[in-house]
Amino acid sequence: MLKMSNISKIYRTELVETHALRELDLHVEEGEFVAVTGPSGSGKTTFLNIAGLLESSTSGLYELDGVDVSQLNDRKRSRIRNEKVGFIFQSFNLIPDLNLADNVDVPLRYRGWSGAERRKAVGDMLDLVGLGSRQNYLPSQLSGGQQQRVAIARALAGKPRFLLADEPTGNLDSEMAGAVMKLLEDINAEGTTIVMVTHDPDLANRADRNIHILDGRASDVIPAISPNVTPLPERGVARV
Amino acid sequence: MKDIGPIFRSLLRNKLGVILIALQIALTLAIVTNAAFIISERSADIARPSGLDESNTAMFITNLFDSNVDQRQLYRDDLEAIRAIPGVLAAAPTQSMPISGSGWGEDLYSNPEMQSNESVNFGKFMVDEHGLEAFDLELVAGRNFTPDEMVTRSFEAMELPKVLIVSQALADSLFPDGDAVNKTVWDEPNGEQPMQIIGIYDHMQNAWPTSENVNRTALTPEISLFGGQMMYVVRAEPGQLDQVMQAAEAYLSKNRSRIVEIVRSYPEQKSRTYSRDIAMVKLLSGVIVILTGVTGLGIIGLAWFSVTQRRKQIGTRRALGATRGDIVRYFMVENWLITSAGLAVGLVGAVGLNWFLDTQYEVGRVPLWYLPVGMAALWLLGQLAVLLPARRAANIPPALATRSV
Repeated sequence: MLKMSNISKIYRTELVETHALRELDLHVEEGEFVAVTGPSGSGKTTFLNIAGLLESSTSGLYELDGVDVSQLNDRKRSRIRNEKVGFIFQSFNLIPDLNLADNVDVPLRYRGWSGAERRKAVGDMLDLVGLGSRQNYLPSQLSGGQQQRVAIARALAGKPRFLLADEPTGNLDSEMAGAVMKLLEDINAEGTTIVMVTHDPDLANRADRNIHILDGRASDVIPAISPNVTPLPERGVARV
Repeated sequence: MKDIGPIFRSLLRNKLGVILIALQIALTLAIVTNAAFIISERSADIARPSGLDESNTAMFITNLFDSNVDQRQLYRDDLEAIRAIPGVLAAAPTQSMPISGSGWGEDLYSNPEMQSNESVNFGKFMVDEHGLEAFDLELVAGRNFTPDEMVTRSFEAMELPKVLIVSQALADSLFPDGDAVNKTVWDEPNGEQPMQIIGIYDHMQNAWPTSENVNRTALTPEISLFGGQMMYVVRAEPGQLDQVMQAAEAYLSKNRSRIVEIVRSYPEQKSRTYSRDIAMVKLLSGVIVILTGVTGLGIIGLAWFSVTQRRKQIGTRRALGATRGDIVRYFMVENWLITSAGLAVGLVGAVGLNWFLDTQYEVGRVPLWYLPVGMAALWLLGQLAVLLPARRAANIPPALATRSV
């Protein structure tokens, strides 16, 4: 599903050169649920941005769904983001002026679906996250957990095969975080590949695999940090 | 247009800025359409042909203060001298110039039974047999004056002309069925003061630019000796007007029994007559430029502010699959909606303002086609104005969606 080989990302200014990722190799199989951990500034978000085609790597090869996406132009990258990748952001990134239905509808409009198709997908997804009755609410009328569920609905509405989650529970209390995590696990169980960046070791340990990024390099599989967490299943061996 | 529904709903939730800019657009449409109409009307008035060879014609006015001078003879001497100046094509006495604001208006009757309320008003120019050539008029029917038809008007001798040459417009008014040449007309009601139309010339305006009958004019073979004022119209060969004016002024100034009051080219006279209209055209043109400029800047400002405020949102849209073109389109559609709302209000405003101006100042009714043209221009202005902020928005990177600040 996702294959990165020797991916490096260097941010250059007039004064400094920052190596955000250094020759990172990573392979995520279809249907996997991979957690990416690491301290602040380790390169997690850069990895996520490159994985989600939000920015390009400085060097290296990146194949998504069997296609080399390293050198695509902006338009093609936008299309792949729209069709194959779903994003869940830490701060939800809902558009405050749009109601829930319009928010979920945003990526579908760029997909070019018909009105009927979009309405059905929006309804189904809001039902899935338990907010089907609040389609006309504004994001500001919802709790943080509900907003994140809307964001998940938006990410899933276009039926992406690959879901990228950036600290999806970072702004939620533990109860809401648990609910969101459960939702992600259910989605993964339906076959969607998920790569989740998180600080939370408990959440990381609920993933199939846990990859640790430090100083721009992905390290080997991390053993369960929390003693209360079930050990990683066998298929969760990192191919780093 | 795929975002039109959400954009519209989003705008409804951010009313203040939208309403202000829409009102500005409305005001702009209302004022610009009416200003453009007034400019067009005034410009059309100014551009109307006087009938003269304007760029090669000049007028001279002298004032005789020595009552012992033989004014009739002075006319003859002046005209002989002026016609002898190199570069002069023709010179004639006159008591008025077209569109000069000062002239002589009279009434004519095409039937001796007609009463005063049935007369045809016209502008009169008293000339000699050189008048047609000096005013550059084309005789389309009949003949010119002969020297023996000339009469003199003065306090001592009030001779009245027996013949006249009329403009085509006056001929048509007097005799709608045509064939005005050799017809008799009367200068007074009840069949008094008959005159014969001996010719018809193509076109010349009377002295008053706002006159409803500006094209009804006539030449009469007479010289006015009232009050010592003497006036000449001189037509020069192309490119010779300046030298002719200097030479004629030098000649006229030699005579110490008079002063030369006015030496003026016809274009200068015309621009003096229309000075208020020209000032109005310039002022309203300035208003249009400033108003559309301010409106354009307002649209840029609002869109720029909107882009700055929504950077994260735009980055999120890009992350969710919007191309740069989608982002540009989003802002174009948003602006189109705001502009359309403003234009809808402005349409009513434009009609209302025109009604007010017409009823209060008789500016006339704005032709309906001004409104769609004005709307199209403002739509275009809005789209052009929003292009720069929209392109800036399109350059916001999708990675901004994952940044925490």
